[in-house]
Amino acid sequence: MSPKLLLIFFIILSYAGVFFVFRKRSLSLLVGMEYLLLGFLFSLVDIEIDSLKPLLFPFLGWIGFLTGSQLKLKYVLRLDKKFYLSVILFTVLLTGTITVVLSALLSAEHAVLIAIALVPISYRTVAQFITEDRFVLFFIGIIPFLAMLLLLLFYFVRLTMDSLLLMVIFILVFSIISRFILTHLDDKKSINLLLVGLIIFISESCAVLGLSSLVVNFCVGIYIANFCPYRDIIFSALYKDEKQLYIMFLLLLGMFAGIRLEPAVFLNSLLIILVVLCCKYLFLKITYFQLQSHHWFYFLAPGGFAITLATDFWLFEGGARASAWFSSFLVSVISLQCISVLMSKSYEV
Amino acid sequence: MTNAKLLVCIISNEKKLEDILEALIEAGFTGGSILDVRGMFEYLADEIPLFAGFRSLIEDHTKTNKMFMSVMQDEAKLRQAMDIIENIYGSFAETNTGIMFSVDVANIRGIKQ
Repeated sequence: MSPKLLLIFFIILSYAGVFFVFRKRSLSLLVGMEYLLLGFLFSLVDIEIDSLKPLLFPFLGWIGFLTGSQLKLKYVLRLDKKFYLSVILFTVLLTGTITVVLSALLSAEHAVLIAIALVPISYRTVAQFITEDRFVLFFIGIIPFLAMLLLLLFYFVRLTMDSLLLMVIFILVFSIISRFILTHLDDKKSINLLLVGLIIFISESCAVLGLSSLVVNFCVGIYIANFCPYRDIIFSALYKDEKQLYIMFLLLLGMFAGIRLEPAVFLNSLLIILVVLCCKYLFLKITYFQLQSHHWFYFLAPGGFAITLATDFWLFEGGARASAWFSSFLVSVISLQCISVLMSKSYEV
Repeated sequence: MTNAKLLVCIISNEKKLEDILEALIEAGFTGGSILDVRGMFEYLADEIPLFAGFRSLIEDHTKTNKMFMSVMQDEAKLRQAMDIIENIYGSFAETNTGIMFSVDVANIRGIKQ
């Protein structure tokens, strides 16, 4: 059997197996981290799969598009300015603090990126424990958008002027084209099919030109959310299969990224976890942010956005297999998610 | 067995509930109860999102359908009430609009004339 066929067989088997083990369509509180671990296991099998790496870009594109398509300006402008100020301060200051501390361990670039990725808090995890406090839920819900904007700024600094201009042109052109095409369809099936095609096309074009698939699709999503008449149908289509697509993304990511089994990686992970634990603890205790009324462990889980943001940069860098910083990061995310869930559960009891 | 019928009406567009109740009161139907209920698929689909937390907050996915229940004196009153509801709410034939039905009432205590 060809190695690639074997790989496809593994993916189907694991998806079906995990689906059976967890017995439901819903994800556990670990927000799919078990699938990432399964992907790591596959990465240990000696098969050449680097040529399949472009499969990851459409997943990032879909997450970017889905995130952007939530940002309707009329919703966003409804929220209080003081609220925005506190979320922005929380996100920016926490990112800055984590960056400064992590700079002692990692390169400045990786420190900034890990900080941006670890600031978002898993909405899914928090909403399981805190159901009534809408202020807190809104607070958690807004942070990923700010993290996405910070990532955009990061790319602005990181990219050359030519690449930067190319990215801006891409965003503008794809936004206008996507809106134009989507507006001229009038049945749901055609819109859904075209949407899939657009996301794959935009994402793979970004991959070829060395641009961020996540950020470009995020910006296109914002444009569609505000200017396309079928914005709600588009959002529903993107949202409908989010769990299944995310599970596939994690399986593939685990397989392509692999993990470097070296003591230095785990030591770095441990230090990242400690830094994030301490920084989040301190920030969540600041009364100005009004988050201290709930147990701070609820806010520790980084969730899906953390992995998505860091994966985008990992691919942007070339997506080296078993990269040291990315391995450390993924181990930290899985550990933080587990710590948060275990502590939150025991606190509930 | 009495002649009374229990009218059960579940509507998904709660904006029309007030109009329906006003019309029923004007026609002389003064008793009834309203409950918040959730459809089977609505319940199953109500998962906390992974990436769409903000939108789910804004659009409040906890929305419920409204169930109106009222005991009607007899078949004629029941049909009149059903017609009033359908005139205001529109047809129930479309999917995801709701359902309206009646059942015979065997025993009653406490009905006000």
